[in-house]
Amino acid sequence: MTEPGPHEAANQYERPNQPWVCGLAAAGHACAAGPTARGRCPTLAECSPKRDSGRWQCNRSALRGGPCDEGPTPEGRCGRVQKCRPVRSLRARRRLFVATCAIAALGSIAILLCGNWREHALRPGALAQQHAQILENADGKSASCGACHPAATQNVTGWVVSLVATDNSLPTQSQLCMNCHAKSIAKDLSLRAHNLPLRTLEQLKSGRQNAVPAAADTVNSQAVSAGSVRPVSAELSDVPVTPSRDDSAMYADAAKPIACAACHREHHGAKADLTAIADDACQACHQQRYRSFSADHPDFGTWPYVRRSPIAFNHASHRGKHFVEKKQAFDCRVCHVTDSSGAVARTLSYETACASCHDEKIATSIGRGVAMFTLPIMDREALKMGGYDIGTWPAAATGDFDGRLPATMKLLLLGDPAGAAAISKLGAAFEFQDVDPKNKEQLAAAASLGAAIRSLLADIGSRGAMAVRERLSASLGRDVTKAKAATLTAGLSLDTLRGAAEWVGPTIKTNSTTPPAVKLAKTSLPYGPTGTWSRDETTFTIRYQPAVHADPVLTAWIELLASTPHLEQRPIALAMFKELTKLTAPGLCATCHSIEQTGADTMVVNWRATSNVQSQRGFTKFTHEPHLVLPQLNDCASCHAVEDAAIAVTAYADNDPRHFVGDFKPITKRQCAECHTHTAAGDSCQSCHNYHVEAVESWHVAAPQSSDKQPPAQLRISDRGWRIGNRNHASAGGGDAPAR
Amino acid sequence: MVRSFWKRRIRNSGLLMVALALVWLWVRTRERNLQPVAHETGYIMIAAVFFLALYNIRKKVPFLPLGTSSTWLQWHLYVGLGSIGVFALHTGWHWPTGIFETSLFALYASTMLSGLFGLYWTRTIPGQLARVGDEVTFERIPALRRRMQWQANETVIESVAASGTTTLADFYSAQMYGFFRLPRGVKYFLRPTTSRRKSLLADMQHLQRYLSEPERKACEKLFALVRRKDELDFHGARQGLLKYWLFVHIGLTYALVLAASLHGLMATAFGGGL
Repeated sequence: MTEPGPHEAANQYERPNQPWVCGLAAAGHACAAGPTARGRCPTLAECSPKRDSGRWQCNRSALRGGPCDEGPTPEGRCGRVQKCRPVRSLRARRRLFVATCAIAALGSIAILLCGNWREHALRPGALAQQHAQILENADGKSASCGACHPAATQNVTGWVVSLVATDNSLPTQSQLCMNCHAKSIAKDLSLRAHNLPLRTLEQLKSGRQNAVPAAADTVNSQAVSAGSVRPVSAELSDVPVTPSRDDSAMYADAAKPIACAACHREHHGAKADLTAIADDACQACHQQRYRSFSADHPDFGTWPYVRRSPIAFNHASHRGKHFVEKKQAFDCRVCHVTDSSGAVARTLSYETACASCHDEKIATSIGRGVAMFTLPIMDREALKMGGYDIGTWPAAATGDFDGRLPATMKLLLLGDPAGAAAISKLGAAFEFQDVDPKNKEQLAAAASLGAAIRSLLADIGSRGAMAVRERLSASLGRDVTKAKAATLTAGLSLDTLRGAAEWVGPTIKTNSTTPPAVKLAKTSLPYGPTGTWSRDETTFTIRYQPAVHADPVLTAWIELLASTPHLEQRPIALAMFKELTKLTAPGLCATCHSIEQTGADTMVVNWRATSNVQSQRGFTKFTHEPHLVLPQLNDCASCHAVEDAAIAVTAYADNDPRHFVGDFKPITKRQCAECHTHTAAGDSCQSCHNYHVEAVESWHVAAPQSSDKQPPAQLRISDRGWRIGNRNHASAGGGDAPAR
Repeated sequence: MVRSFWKRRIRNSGLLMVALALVWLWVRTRERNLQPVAHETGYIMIAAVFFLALYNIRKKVPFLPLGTSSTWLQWHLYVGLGSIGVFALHTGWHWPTGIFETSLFALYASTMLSGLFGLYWTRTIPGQLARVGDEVTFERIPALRRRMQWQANETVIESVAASGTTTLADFYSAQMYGFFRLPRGVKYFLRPTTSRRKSLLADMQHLQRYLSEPERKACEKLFALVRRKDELDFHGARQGLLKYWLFVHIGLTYALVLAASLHGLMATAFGGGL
């Protein structure tokens, strides 16, 4: 082992910044010159021997130790030539390592981008199960990113370009969402707040400002005075709601589009809940702060009894009187059963729940049937004196003017210009006994009407439902469909009509090979079997004898009239509608089936109690299923307490379903807050509210100003829990709102 | 001096906390307004990563008037610490499930951990080195080790020549030759201890009774050499740690910069807008 060189700094030339250092440095013999920049040893001698007096002399400098002991070789070369294998300096090794890391990373990225498993490797996480089952390929590896991300159809260059320039030809992500979700959300409203048009949101705003429950107007005064019912205005006074700090800002925000991804965060795993939205997201617009449901949420007011139930069923009287008389136990669950999923309380059908008691009354009401066509008694002498010949008219129907045309007949006569003119002269509510034979105008009108009746019977006798359709379309100013017309006369045979036509004219010959009755029979009817038609030759009347319940002809006539716009402007039609829907009308339809005014100047008849199938998604949701598990809630009355003192007779007096008297005591927030806390059943907004709503009825958002005494806006629509759903089947009377 | 150091540390830490609080408030405000935050926090993150990476480049261009390295280091430290908070806001501390995102997450976590370890070592090791022996330049440690080995060899050979016995020489070749010839192992590199030195010195102490006078004098010299070699190894291990952690930290940084760039590019391109 040779002696290492001295370690004093002065004797070594350190090159830590150079990429290469002398390979002999570790041995303490680093040469002064050091390696070249390329890492090669220069193999330098320590001196250049000089020839002096014929001998070679070492001339190593004193700084390097002076002349060496060995001296030059006989050939005159330095005997101390350093040769080494240079090594990389620490800094160079670090640079090399870092470069290797960078190249490895770059290579990995290049492989990642070029591989056919690029999409699988680059996606930020697994898709939620709902999306994965559609988008994942069969191999379970590759995902179709392009289904949701327009950029997936581009290459890396396209991605880089997208940093500086937006490609407007590509759809947005939300637009791609709507490729699949357009069935549940309207495309043009998909980015709007609550998927509602701005106009509707404005109506919500005004509705909120005017949001005073209509029930406040009609809370039974007796009940209030008895102290058993608090007026809704009193309920509202307890509601700790103050106007939002900036409603205008909230509705200004509503105009801004909201991307689907703002709330629905994907790539968080198969079990991630895409619909789990934080309360903060709601409060992005609803800026009134809610720390917790129990502390800040307003009381429910009258929710869920925000409107009268579609079927006029008085729980209080049934429990306290009718069931007692029948010696039956009043058990909620006899009528309100759960459906196959066990989730929704439904009302049983009429046949199951009501028929045993109500069939008898209905049968009594339709005992004589309904006169649909009749011949009036015409004063042939007076007409003759007036110069009018009414032609063939049964002798038994001749005498002093008398008789009353059924509204059905008047309506059909209106479809004939001559008949319409005559009725116009005589008045909508005229009866033939009111015709003054001395009044030439009335006499002329009566004669004209007689001709119109003959024409009507002949027309219907020959063309059947088609004639009915044309005449009703003309008289009601709307299109009456062929199917509707067929239903209106369902079961009415051609023979019956021809016979009636022959009362006032010759035998009708028709080329039709198929009698109208057969044609009508082909029409599928949504209700029960039809009743029977009969021709009374004594009174010259065609009567319809309805079926006991859900008669298709009567319901078709009622629906036709209810759905006619501006019925109040058509006195004949209105009179017929009133006749068919009065409480003593044949069939007693309107006794139970409520009629409501809709926003489009039409009315709708609630034939069913609830229809969860048809219900549309509203702001508030509730499902009974998880609640009924609790023993303390197993008794329906624990929440739905019947208000015995309420007199609900006026609840259906008009056509506004919000003007009603509930026969249940209001549900208080306190009841819900016992369980719905942050740590127990949860108190997030989403527990009870939907964001995506399908429809908002006008009457929900434009609450009528029933009284000037009512305070201005303090409640939000959503705060009040108003059900925004199908107008026929809004949640009332304990029906479930579907929890989707 | 110490007071000024602590004042600076408290001031900078306070500023960092305030900056993080502002970012958090900004993010919360955006979230409450249903405005996207992932992109925004991502932009902050990538800006922070690039800024942190710039420190290494700054050291390569000392001739440019870009501020002192000390100032850059301060910024590097506090921006690095601050990036942890922004990273938390960006990811919500959710461990991603995607392959690439998991790699990115791991890269950031590794880089940050290496940085934190580096910070700890750069703050503690200089003090340890100052307490142990003379100052030693890291690059000269191999030469010094070689010289010590030569000195030990010479001492032993001289003792053999002087005493005519090989007791010390046998012990040296069996127990001490490797100690002087080689640097210490990985275990010592990561966690240096004096156990080997104590063990050797104890053995030499026990050996004393069998040594002749010349060997005993040589043994005294070896005592000193063992102490110096152990100190040299300590310097080598600790200074090596200070040098080699940068290998990991900078290597990870470049990989992180590349992966984060791809992530940012994809997040922007795939963002989808409305």
